[in-house]
Amino acid sequence: METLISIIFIYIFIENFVLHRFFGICPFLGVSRKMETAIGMSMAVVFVMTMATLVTWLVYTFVLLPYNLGYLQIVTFILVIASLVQLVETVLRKISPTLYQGLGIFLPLITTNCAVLAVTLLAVRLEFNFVESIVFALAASIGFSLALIIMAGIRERLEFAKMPDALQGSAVTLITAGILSIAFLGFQGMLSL
Amino acid sequence: MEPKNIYLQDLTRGLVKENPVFVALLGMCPLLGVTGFLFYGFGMGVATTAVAFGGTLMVSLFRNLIPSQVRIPIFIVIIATLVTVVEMSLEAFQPELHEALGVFVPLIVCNCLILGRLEAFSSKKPVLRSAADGIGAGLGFTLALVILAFVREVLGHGSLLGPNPDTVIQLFGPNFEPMTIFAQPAGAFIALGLLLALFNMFTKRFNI
Amino acid sequence: MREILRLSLILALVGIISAALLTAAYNVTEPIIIERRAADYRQALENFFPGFASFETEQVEEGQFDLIYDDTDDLMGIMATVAVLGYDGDITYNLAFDDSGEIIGINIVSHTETPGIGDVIERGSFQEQFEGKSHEDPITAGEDVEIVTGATVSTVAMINSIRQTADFVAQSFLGIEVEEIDFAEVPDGTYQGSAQGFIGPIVVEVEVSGGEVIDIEVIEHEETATYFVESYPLIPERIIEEQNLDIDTQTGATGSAEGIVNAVENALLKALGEDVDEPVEEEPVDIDLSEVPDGTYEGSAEGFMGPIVVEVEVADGEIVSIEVLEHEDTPEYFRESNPLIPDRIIDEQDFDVDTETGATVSAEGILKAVLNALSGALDNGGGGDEN
Repeated sequence: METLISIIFIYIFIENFVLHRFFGICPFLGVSRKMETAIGMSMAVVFVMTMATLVTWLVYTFVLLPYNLGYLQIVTFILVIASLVQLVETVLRKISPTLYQGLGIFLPLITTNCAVLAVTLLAVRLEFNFVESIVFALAASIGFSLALIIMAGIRERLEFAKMPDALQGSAVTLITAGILSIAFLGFQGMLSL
Repeated sequence: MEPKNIYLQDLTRGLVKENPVFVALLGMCPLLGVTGFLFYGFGMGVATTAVAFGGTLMVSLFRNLIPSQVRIPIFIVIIATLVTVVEMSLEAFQPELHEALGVFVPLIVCNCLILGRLEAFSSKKPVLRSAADGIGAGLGFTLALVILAFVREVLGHGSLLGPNPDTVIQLFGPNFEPMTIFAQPAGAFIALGLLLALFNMFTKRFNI
Repeated sequence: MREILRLSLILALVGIISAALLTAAYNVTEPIIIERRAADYRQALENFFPGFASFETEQVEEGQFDLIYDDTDDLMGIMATVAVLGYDGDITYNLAFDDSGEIIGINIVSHTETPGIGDVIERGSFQEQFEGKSHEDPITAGEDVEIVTGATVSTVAMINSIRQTADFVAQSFLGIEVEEIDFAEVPDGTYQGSAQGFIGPIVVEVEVSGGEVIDIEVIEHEETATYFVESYPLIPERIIEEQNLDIDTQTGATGSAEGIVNAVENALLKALGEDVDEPVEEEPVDIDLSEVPDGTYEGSAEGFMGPIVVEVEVADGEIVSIEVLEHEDTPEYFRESNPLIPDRIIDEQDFDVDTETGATVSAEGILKAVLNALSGALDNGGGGDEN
């Protein structure tokens, strides 16, 4: 139980996937313009990450490892993720066309959201057990969502800020992310596994 | 447009005008994650270029055989295969680099830069042009990695060609206190943000 | 339906080709990787044990331990290969010990720590601080080794792992066995024992009844009070609870915690009548001042930087004056203890004075020097340096 709580805290605050580990920067920059899309993306990522980790952990432990096929890890994992994303896309299109439209190109891009692949690879490489892996994926995706939503809140206001032309858009977003990252540095050293 | 220059154009387009990082904001994760040292940044660039080159080559070779409905999964499998080969080679021949880059090597799979080139270019264009385009995009990415890593290593560590003690060059005297923030995640974001602003400024001024 | 079948077949074909390619690549690179690792390892061994002839590998739960022999089959040392969970995945490293259990050096085999941050564990400045340390040293962050700010997780993980490995090597391979004490064999009674804490000796009183340790009290210590509370009474409680000395000493003041454990061990060993190395520092002597003949006595004891020499004047069974003749401590700090401590001793005519000052170690030094002077006076049958 203690480990699980540590995992949750560590991967939401201390080793935040976006601000500390640099996973999933593309969607972080791409969909953080509006709060609404940021929340939609967050939900999609939480779902895909957790599901993907669940499946890949099982596949790795019960298929790849026993047959000594560890080197097929990357190919297998990315395929699992791609299929899952396809599934989420289909479901989303049926259930909420508005959300589907809002997420636009970024939903297929969850496949190439390295945070998802990273979480599945790390769950295996850190030798987490099944429950720990799921909790890890959940925490990592919540950490991702936290960073994304904070960023969306800031960017909605940045729209109205005056700044040199060259800084506009991604440049200022990255600098803001840097400052956010400094803020999150404050959590460092509080816990370790 | 002279046919002779097409290849050269395909090759150089990715460097500045359509630089995958500064213009299209692709491949940000490894860009931020491994640029603590110049050597790591350069290594990452070479690895990505190798995958981009192999991927564009394969896809354009088989472009008529790949059914368009399932092209994305096939592209991904091709990239993942190449990445695994690159990771194995790194582990065998460049163990230090392999350890330093860590999980960012398998994450080359997710680099939108490669998938983007496959989808936009290689699946439609002939082999040689595609290969040139793939190398060009990879080099553009390497350029960005090298610039950012240069800035971060000089400011964050006060050295060049580190951290290997055999090659490292300490740029400043022993009393130099490095700006450690640039070696840390926060500094990566800030340095890249400022570089991006600089790039925007120059492209606007000189209308590149 | 046909179309779907065709697409699936193509996808499956691509998958099979990919798997076949990867298997081929794996078979090519794997031997190279294994061979490279073996070559790296021999190279690492050669760095630490130049001219070694052979080694013998022992694989245990704690890691891999190689006993290194020279060409006359004498043990040169031990190479430990241990993995520890760092900041991002395992850090695997070699720790080379000489045949007395002292660390010769560290070699990081592999790690996936964040480039530019966690990889400070590879730096000489971090690794060198362990050289020459052994199972006898605390090897504890903030005590005798330093963590690297900004890479706390990685460096603390390394420090803790190195300490455990050093202890393990000493106990398992070098025969420096920490003797297990069977509490049941200790006769009932109250025993005193002492051992070196972080700053100075720690004296404990251990009460044994019915083959169990029922009470442990620290009678004397020189540790900084704010840290000491982290280990006391926690450590005695743990010992009493587990009835074993093999307890977790990881506290906010590990040095003090280990001091307490060692003092308890010392007390119990004495109770069992074993030959015990008395710690260098003498146990406190209870001096009855009325027995000290009048006169002026000189005594010395270790201060913070060097010996402190004092002159004590006794008249009518009372200390009249204490003067520090010599000391090597930093004057700015020494001022905090002198003349404060002499004054306190003279005021109370007792040695149980509060030595908590801005320079506690100096204060303890003065107190001990005074005690030495007086016990010297008593030992010499009242002779001493009487004027």
